[in-house]
Amino acid sequence: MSNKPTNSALSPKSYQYKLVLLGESAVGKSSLVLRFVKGQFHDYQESTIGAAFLTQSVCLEDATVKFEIWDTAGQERYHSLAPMYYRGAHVAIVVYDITSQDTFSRAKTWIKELQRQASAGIVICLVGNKIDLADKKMVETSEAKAYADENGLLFMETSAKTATNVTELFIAIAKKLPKNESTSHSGQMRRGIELNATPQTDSQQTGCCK
Amino acid sequence: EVADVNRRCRKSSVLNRIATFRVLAILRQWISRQSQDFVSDRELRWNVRDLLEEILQNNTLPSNERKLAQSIMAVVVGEEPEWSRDHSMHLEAILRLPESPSEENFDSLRAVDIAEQMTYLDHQLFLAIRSEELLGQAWMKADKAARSPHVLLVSKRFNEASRLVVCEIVSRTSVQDRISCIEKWAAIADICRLVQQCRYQCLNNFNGVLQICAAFVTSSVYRLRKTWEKLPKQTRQTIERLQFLVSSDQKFKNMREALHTSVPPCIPFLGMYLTDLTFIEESTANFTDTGLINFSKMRMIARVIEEVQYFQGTHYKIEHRPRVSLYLLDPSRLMEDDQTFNCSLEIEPRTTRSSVTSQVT
Repeated sequence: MSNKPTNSALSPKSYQYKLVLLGESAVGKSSLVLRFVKGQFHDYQESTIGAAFLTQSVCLEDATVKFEIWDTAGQERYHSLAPMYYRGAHVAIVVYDITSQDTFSRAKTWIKELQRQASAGIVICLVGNKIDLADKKMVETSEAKAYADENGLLFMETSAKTATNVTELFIAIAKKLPKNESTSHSGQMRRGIELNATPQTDSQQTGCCK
Repeated sequence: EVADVNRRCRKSSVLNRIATFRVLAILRQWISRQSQDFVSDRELRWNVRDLLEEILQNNTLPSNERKLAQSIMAVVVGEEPEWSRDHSMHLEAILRLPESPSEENFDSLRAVDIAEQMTYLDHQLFLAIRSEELLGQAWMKADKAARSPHVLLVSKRFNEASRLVVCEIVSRTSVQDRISCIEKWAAIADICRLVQQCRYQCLNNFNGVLQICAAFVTSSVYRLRKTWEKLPKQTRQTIERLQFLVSSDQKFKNMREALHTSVPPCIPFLGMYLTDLTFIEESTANFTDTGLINFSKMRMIARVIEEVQYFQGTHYKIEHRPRVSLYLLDPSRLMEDDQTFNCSLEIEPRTTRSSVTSQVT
């Protein structure tokens, strides 16, 4: 669990972030995660999937970013539990299904809640999943993109089924995350009630994920 | 040549006998362990009855097999087990609300009574979950109300219990009152986890602990800095300990460990299993590339459901006390999220620092 930068100039620094996935049921949250962490999962292999903890790393030029993924799939109806998941999260991926306006509205509600209640420095990413079903598209890219821009969110359309933009999504997030000691694993991964926590300074500008 | 035919006949009869015995053994196990399958599915009962009749018609059936088949037949054609219907009526009765609001309130009830009745309600709901409600992500489908009614009831109850805790805290205008309120809920959560006095059994109600801990991190409560700062250190430590226990870290690793080392009765947090099942369902297909049933996946699903059944198998010695449970169920005490947040802002207005935060977002 060490995230200390190594001394060697050749080894990139590594950082660890807590990432939470939110969104209506059946928008493909766990499919996205499964697609991203593939490799860890072997079809037909009898492992204790339930207890398997999902982590995956993204290598950037200057750093390795490791995500600890907290998926709420299956628990969508436990709404009172959501703050426990997103409190202390560095990244929230809010997923909707491009073939359903309802799931997009629900995604907007999640974003409002996150903006009001999650930690100030949280990186929020709006994801329209299932672009393999383009002919059934109900949420226009322009509409979602405009909403994301207005609210300073990352935005991407993906297909967990065909793997389109899945790796790209996590790379974009990794690039967007601040890389300094105070936002690294040890600084923020506390649980429970942190009463005297100093608010994080919001030094990060939006839209720098080129 | 005749000897050869005889040998083959004997061999096939031995094989038949083994096959029959195995089929009967599986049937017996199925009926004794999954009796609800036969309650809800009449067609299945008829099919099993037909199969047994066919087996019993065989005059050469050895007496052990015959006895076994007859005993299974007795169960299949016998009276329909009543417990399933009984339990849903019982559940309806305890969840039924009176016309008028409950007379008791949070201050008039003892922490231990609240903890016990919370556990009673949670357990009754947990017991009502039928295994088939957990199959095929039924609780997430369009017809979820018909296919997974009790899974929905369990999560609804969870949200309501959490909201009750939030409402009780934010409806108190003085800091001291709020502190007492948080202390009492922390004590209730602590009792849900463990009671050591010999008069009570261990409650091991992990679901109850989580309901209360979730309320503490809800924004309306979490942001009450003045209240949390003045909370006695001991209470704070209790809360931290409980939050560690039910933390969602590593897919509820701590809760899973505690569950596996506790002596039932226990009430686990159902959502944990719902996530496990969702992952299993979505990570592999039901059939292999060659069209065979993916047994490895089915075994994984079975293992999760078996754990739920295991915790359904032990009961508490708690009596239903409507006086207390009606307080817990009373919907007139609950406010919506926006209302509780407004209450929270009223009792502890935003400081400069938090208004900076709100501008950023």
